[in-house]
Amino acid sequence: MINQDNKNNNDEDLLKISLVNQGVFSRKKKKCPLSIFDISEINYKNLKLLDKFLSERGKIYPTRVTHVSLQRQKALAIAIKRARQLALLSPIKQIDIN
Amino acid sequence: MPLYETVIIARQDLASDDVDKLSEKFSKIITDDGGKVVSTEYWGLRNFAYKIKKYSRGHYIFLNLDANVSTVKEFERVVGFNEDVLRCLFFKVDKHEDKTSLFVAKNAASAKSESKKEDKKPSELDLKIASVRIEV
Repeated sequence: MINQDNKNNNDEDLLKISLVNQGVFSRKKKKCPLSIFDISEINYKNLKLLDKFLSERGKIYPTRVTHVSLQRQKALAIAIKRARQLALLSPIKQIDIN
Repeated sequence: MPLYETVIIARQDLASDDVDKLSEKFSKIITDDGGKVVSTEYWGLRNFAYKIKKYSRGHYIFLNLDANVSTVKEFERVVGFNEDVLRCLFFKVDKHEDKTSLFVAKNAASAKSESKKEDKKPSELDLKIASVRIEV
């Protein structure tokens, strides 16, 4: 599949993928959703933020799903594990925060 | 001296005066050993996400410390004997946060009176958090 609108978009925003025996197609690059945060803001006290990256079984979503950058994903994982030690977050289920 | 953040979880059946005494006692241990207590916070009586030693709620005390490693080790040893304390964790940090954290109140006695006054405006951080959307 060839994206016909390709010329109108900025090339920087697009990720071009070419496959063997097929045309080049492109899709939008996903940006890190935590790029607006300073790394020090991703800490174990910031429960409302951490809760967004947990599944209903209390697991941490992988970068593959959320597109968080490596640096921030590491900080996020540390923060969530600290919050679990303090019984602020549950390791096995979703809880009401407040 | 390295900087630390400390969170201490105390038993739920302590009265608010007892909690203040406890945090004073802890900060005394540190100042006696040559450390500094930069600030203290009381996060209130919170529900645990899971039971700790058969308790389901606890008082959270938060301390910003500037102390040596030996002081921290001594502190951990002394706290281990105290039956009122369920859990005590130290986190090494690069710098202390200036702002008061998300759970606010300076000590347990003032926590009750402050909770009535609350009229909350969403802070900058809250607005930022609301803008984050994760599609799964």
